[in-house]
Amino acid sequence: MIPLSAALEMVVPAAARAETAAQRILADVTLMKTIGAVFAVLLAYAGMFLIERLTGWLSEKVARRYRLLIKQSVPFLKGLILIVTVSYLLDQFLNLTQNNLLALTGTLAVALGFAFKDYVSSILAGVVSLFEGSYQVGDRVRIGDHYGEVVGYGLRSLQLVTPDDNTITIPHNLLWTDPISNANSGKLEAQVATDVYFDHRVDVDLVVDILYQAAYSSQYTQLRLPILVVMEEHLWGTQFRLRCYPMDARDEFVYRTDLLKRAKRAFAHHGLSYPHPQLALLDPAGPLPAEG
Amino acid sequence: MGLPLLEALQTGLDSWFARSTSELADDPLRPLPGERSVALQKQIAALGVPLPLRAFVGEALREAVEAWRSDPEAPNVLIVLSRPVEPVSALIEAVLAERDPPFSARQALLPCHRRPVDPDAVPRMLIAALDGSQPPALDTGEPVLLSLPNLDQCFLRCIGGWSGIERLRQVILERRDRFWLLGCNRWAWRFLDHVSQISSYFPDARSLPALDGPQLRQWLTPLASGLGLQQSASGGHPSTDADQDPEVDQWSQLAALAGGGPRIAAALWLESLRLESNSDGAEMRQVRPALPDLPSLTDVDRYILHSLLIHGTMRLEHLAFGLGLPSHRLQPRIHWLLGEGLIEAKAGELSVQPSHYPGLVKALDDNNFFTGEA
Repeated sequence: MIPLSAALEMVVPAAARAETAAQRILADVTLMKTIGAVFAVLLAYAGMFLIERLTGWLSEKVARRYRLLIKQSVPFLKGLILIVTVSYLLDQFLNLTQNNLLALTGTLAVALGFAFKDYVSSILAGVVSLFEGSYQVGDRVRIGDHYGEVVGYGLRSLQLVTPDDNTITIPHNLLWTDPISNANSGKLEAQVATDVYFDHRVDVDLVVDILYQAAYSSQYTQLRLPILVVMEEHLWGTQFRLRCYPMDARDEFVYRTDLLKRAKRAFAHHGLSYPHPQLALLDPAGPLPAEG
Repeated sequence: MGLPLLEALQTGLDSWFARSTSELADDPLRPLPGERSVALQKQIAALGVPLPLRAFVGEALREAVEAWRSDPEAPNVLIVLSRPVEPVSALIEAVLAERDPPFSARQALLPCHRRPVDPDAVPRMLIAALDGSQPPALDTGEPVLLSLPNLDQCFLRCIGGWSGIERLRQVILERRDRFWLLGCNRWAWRFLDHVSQISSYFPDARSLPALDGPQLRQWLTPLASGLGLQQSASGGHPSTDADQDPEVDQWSQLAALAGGGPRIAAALWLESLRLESNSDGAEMRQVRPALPDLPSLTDVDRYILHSLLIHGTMRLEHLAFGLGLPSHRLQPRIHWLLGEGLIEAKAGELSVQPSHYPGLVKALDDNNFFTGEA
């Protein structure tokens, strides 16, 4: 007499048994697969390290025109390595059928929703920002209280280098909530605003002319972009704001210093009078700070 | 856009190949010794201005003056633009000094050849010269031609530094009874256009034409013949292309590398000369010309070079004043640039070495500087 199990094995075809195996989410783990996976992870890590170092070095060696182009390619290259590596690992260790995929994403969604909410939020924000272009490597941005050049773009966060040469790591998920001010948006030039203050009785035409000439004469000025002087009245005096662009946004502080040096020399030559400091105390708004 | 890019790429590859061949091969040719090179530079300077350029300016001047005399509304000025390393003032002076001038006129050259030592006096120099040129013209019917061959020497990039140019613009527009011949370098013109929109007032500035290979050969032949040169294209090795005259090809390549500029071409030609030792002593040879390599430049170097190209030639004090830096901070970089051969100093004036001009244009353009090239 044939046992029931043996009879079933004879009745149920091999394809059906294979389907049962395919329903399992995890594939068979072998020694070769494990070695391959470790090798793939190490290769990906080395690749990303090399890309970061190589592009960082190369972008500072080439002409300005190509600097931002090279820097902006970093997140895409790193993203490409990540996608290839993760796809390879998933293919090796998971049976990615339609049902398995549904089950897996459901499980992951629950797990990540509770345990790694902020982490996943940062990764998604990073991907969104990559396509939205809110900030790119090489841009000069203000996020919250921090201002500086974006020098790194990771999976979870970006790195800013401030004018004081401090590196600040900021998670991408601030993109959802915080305003991001980008000074150059992928271009080499970023507007620099320079403020000077004078007594109400000052010859405004002369001041405006000197400010224009200060911008035109500075070697840092990008003459192809507009130069503008605007005025604002305060109780204690008149504020003049010179808006112009350096050829390289990195020069913004040395540029503003150069503009002020040139302009103040000319102001002194013409004996222009500065506002009375005691009146500034009466102004509730106070003088506006210069913006980058 | 594609064709110029391809041409630039081909020129760059040609230069690189010529240099590499010369370095890799066991080259029996030696570069010229310093004193020989200096002597040849003096001979090149004594060659004068190439005939096609003189003819171009003479013809343009004749046409412009005739138009001005026949039509009171026609422009009363001719502006000749050149590269900063080409001496446009010598060209204009040569045209005015010709025995057979392009037209009959009372001529006067404004005394503005070099910037005064005091930077504040630079705009005053031109204003004083303009005021001095104002005596009423005698009513003889003969036109009055005033020439200012060095406009780039009449301003400085500093506050108030181009007020003389604005005064000149005003005088030219007001005094339509005089004809003006101005020479200026293209970079200076582009700068003046940015700061005072000068080309809106004078839109018909004429750029000097580029010389081709045969014209360059004609200009330099007296010197080359005097040196007893034996042509040796392709870096001292015999050419394999029997259909192409290597000498013609060499001059055409020189013209392409120099962008048709005679002083740039002469400098590149000088750098292509070699000495070959043989039983009779040393014999002069000419190898395939190549653009020299640019060393790695810092930001300060680029600002210095850009300023020199805008101003043509300038004293160190003027350079420092224009850049808003003390002279002692510029000195180390100036010495380095002189040592690398990127700039030269003559009679206290600094200028860019002509053979480096094509490379510098590209380097500055790539670094977001405005250039005088289209």
